Amino acid sequence: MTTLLLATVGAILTLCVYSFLYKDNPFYKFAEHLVVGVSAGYYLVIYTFNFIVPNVTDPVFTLNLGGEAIRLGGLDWWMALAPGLLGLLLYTRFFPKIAWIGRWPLGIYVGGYAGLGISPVMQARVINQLRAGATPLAGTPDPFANMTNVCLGLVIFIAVTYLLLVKRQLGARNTGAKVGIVALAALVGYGGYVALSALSGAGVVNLTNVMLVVGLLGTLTYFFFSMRHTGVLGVLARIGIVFLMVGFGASFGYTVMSRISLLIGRVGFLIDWVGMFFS
Amino acid sequence: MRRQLPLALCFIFGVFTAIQYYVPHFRVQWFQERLLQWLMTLLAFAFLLGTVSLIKVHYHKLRDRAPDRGFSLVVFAGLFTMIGLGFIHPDHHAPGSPFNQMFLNVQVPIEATMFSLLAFYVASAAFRAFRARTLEATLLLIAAAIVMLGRVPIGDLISPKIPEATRWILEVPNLTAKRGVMIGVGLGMMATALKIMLGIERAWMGGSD
Repeated sequence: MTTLLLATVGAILTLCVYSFLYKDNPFYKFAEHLVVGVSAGYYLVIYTFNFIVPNVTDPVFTLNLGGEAIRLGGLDWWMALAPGLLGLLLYTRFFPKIAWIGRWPLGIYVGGYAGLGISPVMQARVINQLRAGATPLAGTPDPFANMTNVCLGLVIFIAVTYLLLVKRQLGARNTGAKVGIVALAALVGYGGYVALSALSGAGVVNLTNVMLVVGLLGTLTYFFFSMRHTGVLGVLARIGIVFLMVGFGASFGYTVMSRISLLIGRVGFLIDWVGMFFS
Repeated sequence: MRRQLPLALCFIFGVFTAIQYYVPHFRVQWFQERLLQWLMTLLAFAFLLGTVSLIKVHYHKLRDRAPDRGFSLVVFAGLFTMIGLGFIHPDHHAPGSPFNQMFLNVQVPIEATMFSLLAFYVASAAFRAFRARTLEATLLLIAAAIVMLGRVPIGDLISPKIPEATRWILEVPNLTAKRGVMIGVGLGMMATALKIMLGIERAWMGGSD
């Protein structure tokens, strides 16, 4: 009975939120305001019991730090009292005359986390990524060889078609000539695919790794604004845009799928809830 | 005193937390451990401050008889119920505790449903915005379509090459683009951290004296 009651609460709130698909309405506003209150209360309790109680109130008032007794007025006691006092100073912002005192704990917090982030960010986001990007360009097995070769073959085909048909025209005024040019481009593209496959299949070059390196250089060049993007830099930046667009497309597709998976989960929950009344 | 002391504290604590990685002395590491507790505790106090602000905003709405003030009562009901359950029930993490039940049956369904709503809006935004007008837009569109198809069973039913292409897109062009962005973001984060520590970036202090 309790399970059904709790599931009914969840189901009604789910329906309240979905009512927004029609238009903004009191049911949606009810659910929206409820989640604001409930989540604020939830995190307040969690933060209080996980950080304030063990780090401040337990050591200061019951002289207990992580299960070990501490001395009143000792170094550990003062070290526990300090964040409590600093935390209380944050509330001076409710009193305009002394609101500036609230900057002291803020300075410690902002500075502490700024300094704390420098080394891990350098390690994880810069050095490790550069190291991962520095891959051997030849003589290593390529698990994506086939797909990379297909893609590069397609790029050759599209580039040749574009150059022959759009840029030059080549006197292709009638449909027959255009079809002939596209067939020629397909032949060149297929030739390119075969040549690239032979090259990478024989282990001479690892085209996927070449792509990874060129893509990384292109992306970094695109974000390098200290020089005008002309000449070689312009070409690299253009390649960077191509990789970025594919990356954004992939991220978009991934996000849509994750949201749809959540939607399926919620609809599944509603179906299960209806099933509860008949079981 | 009003501006210099916070800047000095920011610099001193910033430099300490930045260099402590390179000083394995036990006293430095002991203070670093305490400092981490300080920072987490300050975060908790800041969250309490935010909750007080939330209460103030909704109290003023009720006091001023603002339109839709009834919903402020809903905020208070949710907030004080959770606080009450969390403080009254000593083991609020325990499965089956009232606090946990409220979390699982009120907060989780609403949050999950709100995120799932985005499926509709993302789809409708994509329908309006995605036009293969340029090479870049076409690439974005094709990559998104292949990734979406490749992540569901129907993609494999159409052709086993589609999941393979999805994997290739995610692990080759997507990876290299993300890597470039990540390096840029990393350098930006470090530069911002240094600007904050050195007092060049002072937005966190607010505008007034």
